[in-house]
Amino acid sequence: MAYADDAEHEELHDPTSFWSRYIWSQDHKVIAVQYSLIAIGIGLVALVLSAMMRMQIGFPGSIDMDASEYYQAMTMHGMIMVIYLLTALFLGGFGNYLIPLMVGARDMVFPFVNMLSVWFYFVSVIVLVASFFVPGGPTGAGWTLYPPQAITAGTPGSEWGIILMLVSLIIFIVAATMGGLNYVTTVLQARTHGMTLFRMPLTVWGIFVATILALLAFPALFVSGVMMLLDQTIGTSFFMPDMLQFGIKTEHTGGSPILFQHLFWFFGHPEVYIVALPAFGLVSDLISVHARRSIFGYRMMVWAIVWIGGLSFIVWAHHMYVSGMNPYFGFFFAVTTLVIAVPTALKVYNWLLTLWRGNIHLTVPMLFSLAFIVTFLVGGLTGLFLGNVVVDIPLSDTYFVVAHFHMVMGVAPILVVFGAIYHWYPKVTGRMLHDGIGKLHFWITFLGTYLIYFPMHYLGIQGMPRRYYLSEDYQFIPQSAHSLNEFITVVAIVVGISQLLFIYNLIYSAFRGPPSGGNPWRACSLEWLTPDTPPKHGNWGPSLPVVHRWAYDYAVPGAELDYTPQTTPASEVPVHESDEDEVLPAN
Amino acid sequence: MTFAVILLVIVIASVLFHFLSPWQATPLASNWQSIDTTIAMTFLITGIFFVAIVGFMAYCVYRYRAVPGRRSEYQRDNKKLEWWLIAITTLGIVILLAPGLVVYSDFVHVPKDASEFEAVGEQWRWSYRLPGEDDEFGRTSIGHMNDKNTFGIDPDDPAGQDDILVAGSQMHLPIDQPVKVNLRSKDVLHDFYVPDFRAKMDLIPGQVTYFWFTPTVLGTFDIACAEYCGIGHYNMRGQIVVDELATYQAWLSSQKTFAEVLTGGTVEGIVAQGQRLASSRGCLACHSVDGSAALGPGWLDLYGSSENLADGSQVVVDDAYLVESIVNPAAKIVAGYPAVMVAYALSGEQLDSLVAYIASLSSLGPSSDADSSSDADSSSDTETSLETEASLDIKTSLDTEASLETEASLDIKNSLDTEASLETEASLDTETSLDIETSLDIDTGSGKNTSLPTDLGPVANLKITAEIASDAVLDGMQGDVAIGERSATTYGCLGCHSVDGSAGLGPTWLDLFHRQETLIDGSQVWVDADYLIQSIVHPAAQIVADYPPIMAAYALSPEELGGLVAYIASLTSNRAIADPAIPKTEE
Repeated sequence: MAYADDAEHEELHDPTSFWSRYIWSQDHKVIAVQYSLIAIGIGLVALVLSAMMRMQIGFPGSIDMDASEYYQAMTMHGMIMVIYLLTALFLGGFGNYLIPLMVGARDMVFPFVNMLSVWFYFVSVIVLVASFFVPGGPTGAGWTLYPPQAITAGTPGSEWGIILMLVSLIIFIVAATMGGLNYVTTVLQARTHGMTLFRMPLTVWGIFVATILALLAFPALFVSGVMMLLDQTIGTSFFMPDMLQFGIKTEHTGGSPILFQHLFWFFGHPEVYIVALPAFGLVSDLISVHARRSIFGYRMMVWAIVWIGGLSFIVWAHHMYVSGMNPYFGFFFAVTTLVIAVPTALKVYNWLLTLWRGNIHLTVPMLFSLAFIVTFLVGGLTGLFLGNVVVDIPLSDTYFVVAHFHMVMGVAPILVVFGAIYHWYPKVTGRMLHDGIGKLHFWITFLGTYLIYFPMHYLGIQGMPRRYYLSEDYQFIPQSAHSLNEFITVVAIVVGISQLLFIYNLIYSAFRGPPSGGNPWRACSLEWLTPDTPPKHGNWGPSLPVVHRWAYDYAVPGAELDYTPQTTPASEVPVHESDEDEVLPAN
Repeated sequence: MTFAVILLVIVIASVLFHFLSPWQATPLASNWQSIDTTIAMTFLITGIFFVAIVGFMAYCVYRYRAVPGRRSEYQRDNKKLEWWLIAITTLGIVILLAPGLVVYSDFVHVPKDASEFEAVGEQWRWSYRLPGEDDEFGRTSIGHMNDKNTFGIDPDDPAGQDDILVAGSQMHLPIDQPVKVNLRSKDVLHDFYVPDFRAKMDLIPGQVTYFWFTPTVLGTFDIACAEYCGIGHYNMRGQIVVDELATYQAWLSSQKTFAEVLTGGTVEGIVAQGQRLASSRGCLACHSVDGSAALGPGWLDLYGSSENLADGSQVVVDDAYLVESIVNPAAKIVAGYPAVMVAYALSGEQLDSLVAYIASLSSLGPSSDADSSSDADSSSDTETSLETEASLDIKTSLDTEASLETEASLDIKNSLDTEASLETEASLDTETSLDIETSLDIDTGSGKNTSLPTDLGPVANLKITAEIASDAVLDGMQGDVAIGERSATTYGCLGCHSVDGSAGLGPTWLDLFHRQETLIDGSQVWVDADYLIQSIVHPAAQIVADYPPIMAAYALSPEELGGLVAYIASLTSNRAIADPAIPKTEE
C-alpha cells in the first residue's frame, strides 16, 4: 500500500511545546481525548437537565420550573445527548483514537483538518451553551425543532435561542464533515501492509460506515437549518404557511412545515445509525475479546453493517406516520423499516453465537456488553411496534416512543461507551480502571435504566402523551400512572448520581490505577501491539506493523496461547482464511 | 452464575409485569379493535423472541463461563445457520407486517357512509365545525379570520352559510356512526388524539389532514394534543361527547350556523362578548375562571382585588391594569407566575369586553354595573358606542380613584340617556375634559402631586389631556387621546413602541413628544405633531438612530392620526415648550 510505504520512511515531526502537544495537537490520540472530554462534559449538563425534567414529571411543582423552562430543558437535553454527546463521542472520540491504531497507520491522513474539527466542535458547544444566556433563553422547540412553532411566539427562545441553536448545529456539521473526511479516507488509504478491508476489526467497520452516513445525512440537516434561519431572520417562507400568530396574521405565506420534517428525518434516521453502528462495532470487539472467541460470522456482520447503513436512508418517514403526509407513504416506509430489522437481528444472533461455545470472562467490559444486548434487544423489539404503521398510530407521541428511543439510543449505546472506556482506558493511559467501582457502577446503571425505561413503555400503551409539562386532569390517565412516574423519577435520580462513580474512577485511576502493560486483555487487534503504552506520536516506532491475519484469531487450534495477534506470521500459527476473503496484492 | 440468574429474573419479571401491571391500554371506545389486536400480536411475537434470546444468553453465560482449562471453539462462521436465522426472522417480520398493513389499509380508506366534522386547532384550544344541511364545508382562509369569524369561512361562499359552528371546546358525536375528522390548524402543528379512540393525526397549518373512526361507547373523552405546540401544549383541552342519536340531535339543533353568527343574530352582551373572546383567543388555556391553579392568574374574584407583583409592589386590579396586562403583559408580572404571556393587539371594544367579562367573575368588582350596561345594550347601537367612550374615560382616570369616577361617569351615562341628541363626540369630549379638571382639583387636595412616580402615567395623562383640551393647543392638531390610545392597540403600535420607557423594537413613546431625536443620518429632529404624523404615514423617510428601518406605513384617518399624536403627547411629563434649536413657529 503506497501510503504505508511512505509513512514508514517519512520523518516524524514530534510536537514539542505544551501548546502543540495538548492544545493545537494534530495527534489523533490527543484529539480523541479532547473530543471525549468535551462530550462527557456537555453530556453531564444534559444529564442534570434530564434530572430537572424528571423531578417535574414525577413530582410536579417540586422544583421551581415553569412550562417554558421545562420545554427549554427538554430541548437542550435531547439535542446535547444525540448530537453533542453521542455523535461526537463515537465518531470524534472513539473514531479518532481507534481507527489509525486498528488499521496500523501513524495518524489520520489529514491531521491539521482533524485538529480544526475538534476546535470547531468546541466552538459549536460554546455557541450552544451561549443560548442559555440570550434574551428569551435557549430554544424550547423540542430537539426536532419543528416549524412553525420553533420560530413563533408561544415557544420559548423563538427569537434568539433558536438562532444560536441553528448556528451551533451548522458549526457542528462543519466539524463533523472535517472529521468524517478524515476517518473515511484513513480507512480507505492508510491501512498498513497486509491490512485488507476484511481483516479490519468490526469497530473500524462500524465507525467507517457510520461516517459515510454522516457525510451524506448531515447536509440535509444543514440545509433545513439554513432555511429555518432565513425564515426566522429575513422572513422567507420555506416552512411557514399562511398562519396566525395569536390571532394576528403573520407575514409568511406559502411555505410547507412538513418539508422540514422530511429534511430533518432524512438526516434524523441515519443519525440514529450513526450512533448505533459504531456501538455495534465496538461491542463486537468487546464480546470477542472477553469471550476469547472470534466474532461469529464476521463477514455477515460486515455486510449487515453495510446493509443497515444503506437501508437507513429509506426509512425516515416512519417518524412521520401521523404527520399528515400522504397516507400511502406509510405502506412503503413500514416495509423498509421492518426489513431493516432483519440484518439487525442477525447481528444480535451473531453476538450470542460468539458467546456460545466461548470462554466467557465476566470482566466489566463484558458485563456492559451483555447488558447492551439485553437493552438493545428490548429497544429494537419495541421499534417493531412503532415501525408497523398502524400500531404507531395510537403509540406515536406517547411515552412508548420516549421509552423506545431512550432504550435503543440512550441506554444501549451508553452501556457500550462505558464498556469500551473500561476496555481501552489501559491503552490510553497505561493504567487499569478500578474493577470494584466498575462493577458497582455497572449494576446500578444496568438495573436502574432497565427499571426506568421498561415500565415506561406501558405509560405509552395507556396513551400518556409525551412532551407534557403536567398531565393532570385527563380522564384517561389514572392515579397509578402518576405513581409510576414518581417511581421512575426516584430511580433516575439514583442512576444519575451513580454516574459520579464513573467520573471518580476515571480521575482516580489516571493517577492510582495499577499499571496495565501493553495488552492487558490479551487481544489480537493492532492497537494492543504498539511498542509503547500509551502510544507515542507516530504510534509504531520506526516501522509499521505487518498484518498476516484477521483481528479475531482467538483459541486457534494448535496455537499455544488462546490469542494470536494480527501480526503473527503464518509460519508460527496457521492462518485459516475462508475462500471468500478479499484478495488484495500482498504488501 | 449470578449473572445468568439475574438475566432470567429480568426475563421473568418483564413478562410478569406485562400481564400483571395496572398500566394497560385505556378501554377501547371506538371501532379500532383491529389496532389493539395487532398490538397484542406484536407483543406476542416480540415476547417470544425476547424470552428466547435472553434465555439463550443466560444459558451461554452460565454454560460457557471461564473456568481453568476451558478453551473456546474456533469457528469463523456457519453460513447455513445464519441463513436459517435470517429466514426465521423474516418470517416473524412478515407475520407482524402483513396483518398490520391490512389494518392500515382500513385506516386509510374512509368508509363511504362516514359523516364529517372539522376540528380546528390553535394555540391552545379546539373548536369544531360541521358542514350543515348541504353536507359541504365552506371555503376557509387565514385572511378571512377575525374575531367574529373565528373559523375564517369565506362569507361569499354559499356552501359556508349553513356550516354549524360549535362554541366552546366540547364536541358531540352520535354513537356507532363512522365519522371522518377533518383537521385544520390556524397557527402551528397540533395533533388530535383521543386515546380511547386510538386514532390520531397531526394538524398542519396550510393543509387539511384527516382520519376516521366510529365511536362505540357513550361518554365523555378527553382530547390530548399530541404534537408539541408551545408552552400551552399540555393544557390544550377539549372533549368529545358521544351521545345517543336523539341526544345528539338535540344538541346539534342548539348550535349556531355561520350565517347566524355573521348577522349577529343573537346579540351578545358585552360580558358574553368578552367570554367569547377569552375562549377564541386562547386566554382560557392559561387563566382559569373557576379558581383552579393554572399557568396564569385565575380570573375568579380577580377584578377589584390587590395583586402582588414580581417586583414586590402591589397593584389593584382595575380596568387599566387589565388592559395593560393584555396589550403589554411584560410590564407587570404577578408574583409566582412565569413571564411568558404574549401581547395581544386588540381593539378598544374587545378590550372593554374582556375587562367586563373578567369583572363579572368577581364579587369584588362592579359586576352589577356590568349587568346594567348589558341591559342598556338591549336597545340601540348608538348607546353601545357611547358606553365605549365612557369606559375609555375610566381608563384615563387615576387607578386609585377609579371607584369615584366610575360612579361619576355612570351618572353621565344616565344623563345622556335623557339627552339622546348629544351624539356629537366633540362636545362629549369637552364635557369629559371638564370632568377631568374637576377630578384634578380633587387630586391636588389629596397630595397626589407630591408623590408621582413615573409609572403613574395616567395621572400625567389627565393633567396634560386637560391642558390640551382646554388650551386647544397641540401644535395645530386637536387630538383625542382616547382614540389615539385605542388606535395604538388596534394597529399594533404597542407591539414595538412601549409607553413605559422600556426598550422595544421601536422608540419608546414615554417622554418622546417635544424632544430632540437623533436620526440615522446623524441629523437632529424635533418631535412635534408633524414629525409624528410623518413617522406614521411615511416611516421610511426619517429613521431614528439605532433602530431598525422596519416600520410599515399606516394609512390612518386624520382623526386617528390626531388621536395618536395626542396620546403620544400625553405620555410626556416634561414638555419643553418649543424646540430650542429652531425659532418657534407653532400657532
